[in-house]
Amino acid sequence: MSSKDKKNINDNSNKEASKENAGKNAVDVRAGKLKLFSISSFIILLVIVLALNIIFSLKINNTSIDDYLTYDMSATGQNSVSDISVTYINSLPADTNIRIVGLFDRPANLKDTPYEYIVPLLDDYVSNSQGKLTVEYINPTTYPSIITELDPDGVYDLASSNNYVVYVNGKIIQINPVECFTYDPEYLQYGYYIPTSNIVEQKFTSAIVNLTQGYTYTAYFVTGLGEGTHEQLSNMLSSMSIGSEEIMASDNFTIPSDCSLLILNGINTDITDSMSSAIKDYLSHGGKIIVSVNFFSTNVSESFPKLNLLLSNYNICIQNALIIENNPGYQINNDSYNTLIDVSADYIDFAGGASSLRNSYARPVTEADSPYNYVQVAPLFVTSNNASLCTYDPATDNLVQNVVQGQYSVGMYSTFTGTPTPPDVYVFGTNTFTSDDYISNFGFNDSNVVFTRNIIRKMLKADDSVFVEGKALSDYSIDTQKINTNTTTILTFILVAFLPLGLIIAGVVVYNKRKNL
Amino acid sequence: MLAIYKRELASYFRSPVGYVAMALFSFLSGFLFINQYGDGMVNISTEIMSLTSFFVVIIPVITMGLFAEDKKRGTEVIFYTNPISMFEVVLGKFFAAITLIAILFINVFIHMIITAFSGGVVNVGTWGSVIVYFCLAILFTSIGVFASSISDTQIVSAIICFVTILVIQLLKTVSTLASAGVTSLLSSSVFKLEPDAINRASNNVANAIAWFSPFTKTQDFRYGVFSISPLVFCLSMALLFLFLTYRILEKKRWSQK
Amino acid sequence: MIEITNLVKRYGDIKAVNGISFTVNDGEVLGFLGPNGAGKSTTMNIITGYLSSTSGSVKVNGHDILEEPDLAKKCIGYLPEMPPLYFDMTVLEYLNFICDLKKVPKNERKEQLASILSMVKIVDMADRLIGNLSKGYKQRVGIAQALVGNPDILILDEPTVGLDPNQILEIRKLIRKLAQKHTVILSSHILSEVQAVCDRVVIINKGKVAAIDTITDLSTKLSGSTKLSLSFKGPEKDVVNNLRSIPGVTNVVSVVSNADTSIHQVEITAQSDSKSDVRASVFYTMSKGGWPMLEFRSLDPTLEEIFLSITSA
Repeated sequence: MSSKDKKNINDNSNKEASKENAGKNAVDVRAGKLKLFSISSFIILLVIVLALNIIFSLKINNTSIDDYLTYDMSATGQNSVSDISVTYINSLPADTNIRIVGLFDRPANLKDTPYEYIVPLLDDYVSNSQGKLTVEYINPTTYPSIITELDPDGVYDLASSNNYVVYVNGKIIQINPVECFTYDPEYLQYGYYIPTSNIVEQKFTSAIVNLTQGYTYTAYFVTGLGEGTHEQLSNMLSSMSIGSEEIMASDNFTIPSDCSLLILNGINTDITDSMSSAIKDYLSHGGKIIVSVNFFSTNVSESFPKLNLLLSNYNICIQNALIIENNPGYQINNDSYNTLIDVSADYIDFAGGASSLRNSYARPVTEADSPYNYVQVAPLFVTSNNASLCTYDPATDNLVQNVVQGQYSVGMYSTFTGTPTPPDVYVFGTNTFTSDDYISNFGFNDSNVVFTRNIIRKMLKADDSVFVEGKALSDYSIDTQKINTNTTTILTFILVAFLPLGLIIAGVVVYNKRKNL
Repeated sequence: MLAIYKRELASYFRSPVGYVAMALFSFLSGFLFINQYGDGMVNISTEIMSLTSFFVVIIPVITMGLFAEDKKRGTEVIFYTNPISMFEVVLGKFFAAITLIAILFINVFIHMIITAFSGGVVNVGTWGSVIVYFCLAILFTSIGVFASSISDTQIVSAIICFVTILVIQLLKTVSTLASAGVTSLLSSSVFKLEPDAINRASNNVANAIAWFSPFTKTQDFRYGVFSISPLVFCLSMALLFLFLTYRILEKKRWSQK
Repeated sequence: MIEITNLVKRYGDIKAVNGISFTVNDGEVLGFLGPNGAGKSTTMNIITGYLSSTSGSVKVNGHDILEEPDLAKKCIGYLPEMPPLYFDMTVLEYLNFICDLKKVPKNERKEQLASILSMVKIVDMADRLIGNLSKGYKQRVGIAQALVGNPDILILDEPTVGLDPNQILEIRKLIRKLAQKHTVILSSHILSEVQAVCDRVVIINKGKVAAIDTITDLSTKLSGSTKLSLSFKGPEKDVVNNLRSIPGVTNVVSVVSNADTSIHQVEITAQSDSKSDVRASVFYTMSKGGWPMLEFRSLDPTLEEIFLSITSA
């Protein structure tokens, strides 16, 4: 063995000599190969990863693969255009050209702004429009010419509006992003905008429908009777292709001939004599009217004698009293003024299948004593059998409760039989069907609002109208009945103090235990 | 891989690091939750989104030691001289860090349960936020693993990781600044460009920079609007960083230095 | 079996290892001897796959470390210069982790760990934290780590450095025990250590192999001359002259001389072969002169002297 080793040494020294001569920088080729493999494999992966991601976001005809691989699983599909709109846009002729122009730079940061529900939705419109619809963002400060392009006559004040403009064949409708939502009215009065539902698609689709079709009907709101606003109801009508106009209550009140529907929305004072005769005349020619009145501090002493006189022709009477619900099963949050009312069997379909609806500070709407058989009158909603009434005593400025319990009707429908043009009269003893407050608070999907929409549909035979439901934004409030200050305090202690401290202690214990092993 | 994973995960709980991280996270998340809970409105998505902005601190702490400590202690010899692939080592350490981040997330699950019992909302958007949390965690952890592999001390690796995540968080702001910069540069009379062209150029710059932001890509998840590309982006980028880490460790096999 | 051919490792312009070739046969204990900075650790790191080589090849049981690293690494248990220990784990936790890493089957694990623990004598330390162990025990845990998975080949880099003499003896005993079942490569910068445990020795200096020899051959080569150290009380000149006249003594050099106490120390270089031993003659010379010997011992040759004697032989 030793001889072999010696030979090794000799070999070694020979090789060394030759090696040093051969070249000082001789490096194992295998190392070079490994290096090449290492670098090239990384570069290949880098290219694949970048290519994959770029392919996903590459836009061809304004749509990318990612748009097809986007799944809107939110309960209401906030950022997806619904089938109703898609079907309508598909039904338009191929050469239709709808321009939606945002008169501002495309918002970069969508998060927590109204645009987070608008910008993606408009993009979805484009990808579903088969090229009939385009969305542009053009800032008029950079391109002033856009204003005259959209509004050559200068009718609208577009320059400073920051609105969206829907433009079809020279006609435009402006849409204010802020108005694409309904807000919680309770917070609104303090200046906070807490959105309750998203009506972006409703706004844009009805604008598209109205620009491509024109309004089919016109509804007139009577103003000047201490009534509430009607912005939300107008939105709803607009989405049903019904335009909204106003007429002032006055002594020489006339109803325009194009009036398809007259609305007295939450009035607080009585009508005038001329109104009474004009409305009677209007109804005798097949007119349609919706009246809503409630019993509230603004109108406790108003008994609406002239209105009741008018309504007595249709066998309806609005009483000057407040309904008190004594049945706890009908009370909402143990409140005997904000209660549930049962929908009459014939009208359950109108309420979208709901058998009970909400009412608030309601007056009883009962049958009058009309002797005529041709008057067909039916209650729309009734209270439980345990409701009672209370009336206002101006002498003491107090409400006086009547102990007698019974069932009261809160809404009535009346029409005539045997005439070619029967009137349609709907009277609500509560404002929970038509008021802005209510619609803002509960959104367009609420059963009460659905009910209102369905009776308007029925009256105006507007069944084919394109209506997109408002999309409820999630309500993140927790059930206040289940938590109180105690539970909150306990949870605060557990989550912010005990749990972290416990973990720290556990850490210290483990550390000390192991330190001395 | 399992051997490395088990050791790394256990080591988080042998030293105070894991406990401090858990305590810190449960305090933070608990504070965010109680703040909302006291107001009677709980949106778990908001809580999760706020927590993801703490990744910039949490992830460097969790990942800084993964490779740097082995290099300092000389224990990396074990990985090189045993029949185990370096990629397994990288994955084992990476998954250990991810598991710790998932353990931290148990806090949020507790909050979700409390919310559900209190009649609050735990909806598809909440789960979308959970997906975003883990996607970002995977991406940032892979960056932390990478940072740990290219530096010899924990502090340096933590700083590299911190800065990288910070830049990613600020990409949106950076893109706005860059676009403003491009606009003012091109607007100078030297170029004589149409305002339209300037606008387009600055928009393109902004979009190109913002394209890399995983926050922008995943912002719709919290509303329950899911898309595939942000997931592909986060996971593929994470894979890229892990592979790069693997290559850097493998360098010892052929490096002449 | 390990075959190392023409191994070169260059750091910039410096060649840490410059064309080393040798073969380690199955079952032998190979000493890897060289001064600090000779390239011992670099060579061992390359053999175990921890470092890359600039050129040359390492084959472990026929598997090239660069081309089939997993198969090659499977055969090796390695204790680097600095034992790769996690100070925050207990001995048992750590060894279990190594078992996981080396994929030791679950059913064999308990038995294997028990035998390793008792072999390196750390049974009592099994549940202690590694960070709290003494240097000697840490070294044993390092050896235990290399033994996990029962590899054919053990590579131990300076296993006794920094230990106290007692611990050194223990570790040497352990290595001899291990040598019964494993091929062992052991690096050291101390000749006596290599002589104590190895069958064969590779001596390297400045990145090159200076000699490869069996221990017996090495001894013969080194036996050409002996060095002795002697302390005595008496007149220095007389003593030195008398010592020089002893047959076989080639040189006497004064190391320490103190005229006040007349205690001196000298180094005697002598030709040594089996026939004549100068040590007896030195004793008689000193006693005849009436000079008391205070200390008399033979000196181990330094590495430099070994290289000198090897290259001159």
